[in-house]
Amino acid sequence: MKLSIFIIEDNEQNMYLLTYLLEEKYTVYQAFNGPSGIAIAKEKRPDVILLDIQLPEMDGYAIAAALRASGDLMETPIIAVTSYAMVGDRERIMAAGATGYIEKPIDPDMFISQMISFLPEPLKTKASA
Amino acid sequence: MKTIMIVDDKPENLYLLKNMLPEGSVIIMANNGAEALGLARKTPPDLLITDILMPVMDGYTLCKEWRRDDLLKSIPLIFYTATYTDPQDERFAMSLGADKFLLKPQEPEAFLEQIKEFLDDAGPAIVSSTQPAEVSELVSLKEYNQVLIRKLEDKVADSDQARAAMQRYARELEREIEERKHTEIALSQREEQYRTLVESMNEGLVMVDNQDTILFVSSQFCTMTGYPEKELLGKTGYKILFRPEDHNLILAKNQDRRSGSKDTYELEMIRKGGEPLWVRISGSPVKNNLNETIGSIGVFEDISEEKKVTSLLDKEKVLFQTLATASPVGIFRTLPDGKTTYVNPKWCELSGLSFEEAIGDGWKKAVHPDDIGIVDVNWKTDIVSERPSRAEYRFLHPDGRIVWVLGSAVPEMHEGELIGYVGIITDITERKNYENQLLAAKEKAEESNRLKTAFLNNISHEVRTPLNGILGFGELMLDPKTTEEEKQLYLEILQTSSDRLLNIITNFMDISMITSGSVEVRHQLFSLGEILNQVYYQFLPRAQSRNLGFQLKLPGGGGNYLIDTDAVLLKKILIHLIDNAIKFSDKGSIEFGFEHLNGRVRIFVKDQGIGIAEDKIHLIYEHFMQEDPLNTRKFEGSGLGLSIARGLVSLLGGTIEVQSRKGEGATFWVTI
Repeated sequence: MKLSIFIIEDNEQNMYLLTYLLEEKYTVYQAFNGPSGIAIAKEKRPDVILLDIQLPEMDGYAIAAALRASGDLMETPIIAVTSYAMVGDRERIMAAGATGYIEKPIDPDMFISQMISFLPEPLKTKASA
Repeated sequence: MKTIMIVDDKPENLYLLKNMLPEGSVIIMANNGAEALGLARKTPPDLLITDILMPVMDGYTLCKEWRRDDLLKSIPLIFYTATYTDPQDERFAMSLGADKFLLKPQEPEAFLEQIKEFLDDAGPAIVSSTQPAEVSELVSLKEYNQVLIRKLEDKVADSDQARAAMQRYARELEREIEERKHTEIALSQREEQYRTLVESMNEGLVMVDNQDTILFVSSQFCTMTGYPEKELLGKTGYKILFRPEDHNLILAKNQDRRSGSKDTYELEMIRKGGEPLWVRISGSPVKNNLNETIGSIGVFEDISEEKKVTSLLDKEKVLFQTLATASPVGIFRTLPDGKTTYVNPKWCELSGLSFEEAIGDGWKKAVHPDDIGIVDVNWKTDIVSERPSRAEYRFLHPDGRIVWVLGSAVPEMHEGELIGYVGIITDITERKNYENQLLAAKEKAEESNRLKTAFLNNISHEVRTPLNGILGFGELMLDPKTTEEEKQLYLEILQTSSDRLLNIITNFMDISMITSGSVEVRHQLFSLGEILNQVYYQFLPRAQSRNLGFQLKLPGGGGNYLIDTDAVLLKKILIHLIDNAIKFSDKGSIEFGFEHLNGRVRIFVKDQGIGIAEDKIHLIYEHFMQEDPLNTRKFEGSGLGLSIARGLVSLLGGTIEVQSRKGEGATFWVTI
């Protein structure tokens, strides 16, 4: 069975790009804002969550914190994909509960391997298969 | 037969009286009142005749007892006295109950006449001695006897008086002699005392007459002046002891003394040999028996040491006052409880208070209201612990001027006792101003640094977002699996992202140039209507694509209105405002145009979009700010548009205003 990856991202072009890169190998779920993202995540229990930070209504920090507070998703890897790429941004995001951090603009060739590098075993092996 | 009792302490008086009584009477004699009472109680007489002044019991007492005794009280009582002869005495005697009051001596006939009434009552006890028929030798003898008795009685009475007078006189003499003896002893003792007193005094004593001729000097006075006694006595005091310029003063003082007043004054006298000596002179008038001033006594006290100390103290005082007055720092002194007792002129200048206003707790009213609380608490804490106190605080002058001072006070001790505090205040206004300027500069630098960091963060973020599209979809274009249809979509995305990137870079450039002041304003005369028209056609497609109404409203003939400003910058302002209006509207229409207002031009851009909450309006011109904070921004864009617009408006010498409410659209006005 394919690994499931859940993308929370408000920018349609970015969503398109990420989905395009991932859907060949993985099952992809999409959400364009925080509240629906949290609801879908609880329902689908994805293996990995990709999270944008600048989002309307609820930002990525708040979403990460909410996901971590939910019992079922406590261990789910959350990888931030964001344009916040200045000194301190990474630390802030990791402190909010993210497992990994990929800065925009993404490199389409490298994106999947970057993502896998942040996953714990046995997800890492499964994702690489 | 009548029984008559006669009472007298003198036997001769008894004898004489017995012989005056009628013949045939029974006579009972007693020497005093007590004896008379005793005898009368045994044998009550028919009449009692008694002297008053007697030993053991006098006549008055006898009378009182007599009248109290039931057996005797009805028996008549006659006083017969030589001593108590006043009408007062008689009244007293009668008041005690006497029946008669007779004065000694009495002629025998008269006497008998006086007592007859008392004897008649009792019957024929009395044989009349005046009956001529019975004149006989016996009667003659009796008469003669009576004359003799009378003379004798007179003599006795005279000699009694004389003897008494003699005795009195002798006693007085004795007393006088005694007194004189005492007085002489006392006088000599007192003289000795005075001499000792005068000679043992540290002060010199001099007595002068009204012409200031010296009558007496004490040895101490001689020592003090350096003159032996013989060189002073008889001389005119002021002439030899004082400087000519002081003579009138001395004369005036002597004159005062003649009117009876005492006084004390200080003067420099001249000792023998010319050496000056400071003395304190206390002068008192000397009076004779008639209370006339006949001279004066002067007590001279050597006060040269005192004068030296005083002059030293005076010098110190002058020095202190000069220092305090001329001091470039404020000086104050307080009591141990912190109440101010002194401030110098500089203190007054710094505080803006007068000396009188500063005294006690008055100084507090000059301290700045924001500082007085802590200043007062610290000052009280310090003085309770009796330790030095330091404080920096402000004086607020009535004209609003602020003077910063550094105050410092230390306990002032005198012989181990805290007597208060003495302190100084220094004007540190300039230093404080520098400090504040430095602080402000530091804050500004820090703020600027924060802004720079935020600016860089935003550049990074804003640039990365479109780059993500450009790089991502550029990559996808190269993917052999990508269809032609997809390629067309990707190219459009590439186009949009590139536009956005360019737009962002342009905004960053603009805001940087505005902030650094490097925008050049080029004035030119141009048609405002035309510029607005250009903008209208530039945005019309975007408005239409979002189904928004879009209208340009010009005043009558507005198309030709010429304005003298920078056309490029004005157009940029309009672009930012209209760009925002479209971006934040999802319904209604957008109107823009201009109107004339008080000789100026007012451009307006009015939308019916989401509006701005009132409490956020003040933020909209901040760099990178949209109403929503950065992280949860619903609308794309750098948040620089209004910052740029405002910066440019200000460069053109205009103003920008906004009116808006949440959900009710917004209207921006730019007045040039």
